[in-house]
Amino acid sequence: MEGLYDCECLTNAYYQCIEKMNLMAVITDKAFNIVYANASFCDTTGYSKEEVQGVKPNILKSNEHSVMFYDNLRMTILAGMTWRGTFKNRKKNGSLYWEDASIFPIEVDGERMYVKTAVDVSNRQKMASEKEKDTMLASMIQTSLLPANLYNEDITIKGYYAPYENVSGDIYYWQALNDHQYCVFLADVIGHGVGSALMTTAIIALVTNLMNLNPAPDVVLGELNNRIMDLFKTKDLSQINYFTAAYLLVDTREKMVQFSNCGHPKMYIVSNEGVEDIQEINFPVGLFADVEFSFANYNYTNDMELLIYTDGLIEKDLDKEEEIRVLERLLEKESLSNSSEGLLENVVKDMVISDKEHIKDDVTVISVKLKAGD
Amino acid sequence: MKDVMPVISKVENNIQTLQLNGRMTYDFIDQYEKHIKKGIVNADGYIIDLRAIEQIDSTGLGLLVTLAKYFMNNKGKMVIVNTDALIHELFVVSKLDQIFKISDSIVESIKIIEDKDEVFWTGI
Repeated sequence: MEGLYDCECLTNAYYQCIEKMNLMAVITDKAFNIVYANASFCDTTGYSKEEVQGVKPNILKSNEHSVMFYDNLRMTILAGMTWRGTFKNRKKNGSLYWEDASIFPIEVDGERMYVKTAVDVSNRQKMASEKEKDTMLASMIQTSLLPANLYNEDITIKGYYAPYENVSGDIYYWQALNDHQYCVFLADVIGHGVGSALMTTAIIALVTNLMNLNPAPDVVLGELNNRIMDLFKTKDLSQINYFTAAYLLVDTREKMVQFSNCGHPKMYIVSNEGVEDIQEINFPVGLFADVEFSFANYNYTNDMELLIYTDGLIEKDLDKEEEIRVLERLLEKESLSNSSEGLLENVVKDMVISDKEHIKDDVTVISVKLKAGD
Repeated sequence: MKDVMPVISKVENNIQTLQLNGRMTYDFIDQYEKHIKKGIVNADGYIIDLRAIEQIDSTGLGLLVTLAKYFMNNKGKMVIVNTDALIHELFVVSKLDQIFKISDSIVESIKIIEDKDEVFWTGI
């Protein structure tokens, strides 16, 4: 045989092909009564060919989809177009299954008929749903690691934390060491998603321990760097893991802040005297072994507020330099005003909440408000 | 990132130039890694040309450090060509300007590689 030119032979070949293929196929007449269902349909749904003959496909209906969902389907195929989508349907035994389906009209001897082809994707849906549950759990665990806002007479520490996905590559931590010393730590792990979030949990475990052993910035960061290098040691050079960080050691008795930036954006000091930025540049943490970390001192004599943030605040789908200017203008305005709302709340409102569509990374902002006293 | 070849490689006088194009960011970094891993040849020196890079983030910086470590281990000299102020700012705040040799042209980069007195990063 040179080819399937004989009509009867071709029809037979098509029939066998549809009957034996690993894809569900159903044909209805113009009134949506089933006139044909293939073997794969019967295997998946549990209905025999005889049981579905002449009945409507809504015997599979699970009532899990909206009226709008079915209206859209009906309007698409009645307009002569192909509808594609995912159904959650019910088998004969009552159990539910997912199918990716295509439904389209055909003309046979001048009569309109409708064809549905579908593939069972229940395993894929189950995996997606389990992944979602895992991610939600990871998100809950990560959020539970964040400290509560701290309000003392001479210091207030507040944080804002917005993961780009469910979990974040950003993490922060602060702690009162005694009645006058406080540590504040903010880290931004390379990338985002579950991998970065897992790394943040390791970082927090290490940094809380180190803060309590010796809170000096150079000691905490140097030791953290060594431990991270050890922890994520790999011979595969493409598996690089590192993070940028900002660290503060505040002494409210001495009125002094010791600070260090490790590949991290500069910090801002806002007071009624204006806005200034401070930065003590160091390598990011986890890039190079055995490097030394430096810190600088800032003595405050007036009440002031220190703002630390991760670069998601200024790295949007927009001009980064302009975003920095917007932030600085906002801080200038804040330094002149006696707004009842706080600096952190206003930065978040203007640069995150009202600009959500441009955010493309995790965003964290921390404010440390210090009272200089009399 | 459509229709952009992320890495274009050229070897001349035993110096390989890797011209990187587009966005060296989290979403696209795998493409750069794949092309670079496949494309690196044995050479005396390597020029990483960033002038056609539109954007770089921490994953992009991580890849540059990976390359620097790789060339350091293999005794290759690496020079980065960059003329973008924002990328330079990123190098400065992460102190990577102290690790990388950075120039503003291919000609200057070749001079740096061929200068026998030039000291390259040997690891810290």
